[in-house]
Amino acid sequence: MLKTIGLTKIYRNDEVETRAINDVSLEVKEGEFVAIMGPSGCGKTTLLNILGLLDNPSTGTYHFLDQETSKYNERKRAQLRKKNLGYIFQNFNLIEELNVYENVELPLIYMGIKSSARKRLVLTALEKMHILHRKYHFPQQLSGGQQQRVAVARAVVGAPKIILADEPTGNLDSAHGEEVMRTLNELNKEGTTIIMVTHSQRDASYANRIVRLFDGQIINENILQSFSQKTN
Amino acid sequence: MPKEIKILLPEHLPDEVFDIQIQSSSKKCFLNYRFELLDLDKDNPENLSNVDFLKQKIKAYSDYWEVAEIFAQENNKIPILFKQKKQ
Repeated sequence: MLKTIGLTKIYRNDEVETRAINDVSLEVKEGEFVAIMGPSGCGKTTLLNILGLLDNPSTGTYHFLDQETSKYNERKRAQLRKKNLGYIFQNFNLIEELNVYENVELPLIYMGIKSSARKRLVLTALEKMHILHRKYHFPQQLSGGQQQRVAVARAVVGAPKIILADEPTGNLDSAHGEEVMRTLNELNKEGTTIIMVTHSQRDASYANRIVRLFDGQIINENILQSFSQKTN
Repeated sequence: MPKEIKILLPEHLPDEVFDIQIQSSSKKCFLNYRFELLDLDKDNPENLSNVDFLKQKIKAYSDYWEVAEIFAQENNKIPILFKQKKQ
């Protein structure tokens, strides 16, 4: 499903060159739940941003659903993103000026889905995340756990093949964090591939595989549990 | 589903093993963790890169233990927490 070979990302300023990730080769199969772990600054988020087509690598190749994307421009990456990817961030990244319903509806508007279908999909996603009763509330009127449920609804409303989560429980207490992890686990059981950056061993225990980074390179991998690979 | 339990450990030394016994109703389980501090000045005579050094150390570590967490390098030392594999 996803395959990187020799991926490197270099940030440069006038005097300093920083290799945020260095020669990373990684394969993620359809239906997997992969946790990426490592100390702060080891390149986890940089790798996730490249896997999520938010950024390009400096060198190396990235095959995303059989397409070599490492040289794609922003427009081509955006096309692939809106059809295939959902994102969950530590800070929720909800739009403060839009209510819950409008936040979740937004990706469907970008996908060009008609209004009647949008309404059905948004209500279904909100119901699934147990947040339907807050559909006309604004993000600042919700608790952290509720905001993350809205963010998960927004990530799944377009039925993406892959969900990328960057520290999804980082701003939540343990009860709300567990709720989010249970939701991700259910989505994975329904067939969604999940790639999650985390510091939490508890969150990582939901994954099939843990990939550990240090200084921008993969140090080791642990298989936690087998998964049934979905076939097309 | 995993439940989070936080246990504050007393000050620990490298190579120290923590045995944690968990009892839920009548079920008991044991978890063993070992904390290691890899010293890049002392333990790396071949002067390998940090990444190669870490890979080598983890590969050569006991088959009965696996990495639980690698922490950020501090003062040329890399702390690693190992967890005993289930038998």
